[in-house]
Amino acid sequence: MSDCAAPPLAAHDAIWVYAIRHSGDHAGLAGLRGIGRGQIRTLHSGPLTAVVESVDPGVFSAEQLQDRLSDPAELEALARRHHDVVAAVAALGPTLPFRLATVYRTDERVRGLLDQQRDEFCHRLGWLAGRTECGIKAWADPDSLFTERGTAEPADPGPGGRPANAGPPGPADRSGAAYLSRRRAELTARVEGQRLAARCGEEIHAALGRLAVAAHRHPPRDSRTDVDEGLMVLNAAYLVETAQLSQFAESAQVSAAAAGALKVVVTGPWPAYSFADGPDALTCTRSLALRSPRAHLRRTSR
Amino acid sequence: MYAFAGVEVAARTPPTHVALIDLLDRVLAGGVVIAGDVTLSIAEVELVRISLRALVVSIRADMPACGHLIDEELM
Repeated sequence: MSDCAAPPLAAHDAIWVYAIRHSGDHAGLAGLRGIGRGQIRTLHSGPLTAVVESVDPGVFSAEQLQDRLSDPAELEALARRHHDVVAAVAALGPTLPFRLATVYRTDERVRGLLDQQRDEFCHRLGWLAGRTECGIKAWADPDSLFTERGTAEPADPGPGGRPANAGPPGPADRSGAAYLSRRRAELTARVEGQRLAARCGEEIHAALGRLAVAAHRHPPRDSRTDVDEGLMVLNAAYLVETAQLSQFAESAQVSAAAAGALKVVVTGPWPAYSFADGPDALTCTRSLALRSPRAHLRRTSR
Repeated sequence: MYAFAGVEVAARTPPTHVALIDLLDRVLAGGVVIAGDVTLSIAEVELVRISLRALVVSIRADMPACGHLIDEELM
C-alpha cells in the first residue's frame, strides 16, 4: 500500500463480494472455496444477504489486483473462481452478481451497502426471479450475404463514370477504366457485404428481443479472432423466463437461419451478470459508462 | 438439462467449463457496479479486455499447448 494516510490493515481486512440474494437457506454454499481459497461466508442485513470471502488485503490490494488482472493466467483464474461462486449462489435462487474485484474493508461496510440499497436490490431481485440469462452469438459471411442478398444494381459509377449498360467499352476503356470500374465494384461489394452483415445481426437481435424480458448487447469481438467463422455480427445476452429457455434457444437458431447467419452459438444459462443493473438501467447506461476516461484502479479510504 | 445448440447444458448447476471470453464479457463488464473500497475502474476493465483479445489471437496460433483455454469459438 503506497497510501501513507491509510491506517494499517488487519490480517483479514478485505472482503470480496460475489453476489447478493434474498436472506434464506444458504446451506448450498457450505464448503465452497473462493478466489483466495477461503471459506465462502454470508453477511445478512434484513431481507438481503451478501455472499463474501475474507481475502488477504496484501494480495488483493488495488495495486496487486491491477497486476494480477494484467496477467492473462491470473485473470482467468480469478474470473473462473469468481464465477464458480456466483453460479453456486445463482443455483439457490434470484441472484445479483457483483462485478469482478469489488472489495470492501470490513463486514460492516458490506452490511451498510445492503441497508443503503435495500429497496433497489430487492426490486432487482424480484425482477430477476424465475428468469435467467442466455447468451447468443452469431457470425455471418459478408461476401456470401452480398452474393445472396446484395442489391442487383451494379456499382455506382460516380460522376462522369460510365454507366454499366452503356454498351461495350471502347479500346481505351480496356485498361484503366475497366480496371477502375472493377475495383469500384469490388469496393461496393465489400461495403455492401459489411452492411448486410450488420443488418443480419440487427435482425436476429430484434427477433430475440421480442421474445426476451430484456436484452443487452456486448461489444462484438475483434474480427481477427473470427477469420474462419466470418464476422461476428451479434454478441448479446437476453433475460428470459427460465421455463422458456429451450424454446428461446430454438428461436435463436431459427432467427439466425432466417437472417442468413453462418453460425449461431447459444451459451448459458448464466447468472444474470448482464442484467444486474436491474430493469431501470438497461443497455444505454452501460455503453456510456465504457467511455469513462478513468485510467486507474480507484481506491477510496474510509 | 436443456439442449442448447446441440450442446447439453445443465439447468441449475454451474457449467463445468464456460468459454473464458464469454465469462469475461460478463464478470468484467456486467454485474452490480458499486463503489467498493477497492473497485476496478471501467477504463481498467477495457485495458484488460484489449489485452485479452491479443491473448485469444495468440492462443489460436498455439492451440495444442493451451488446451485449457480453448473454447468453442477457437476450434
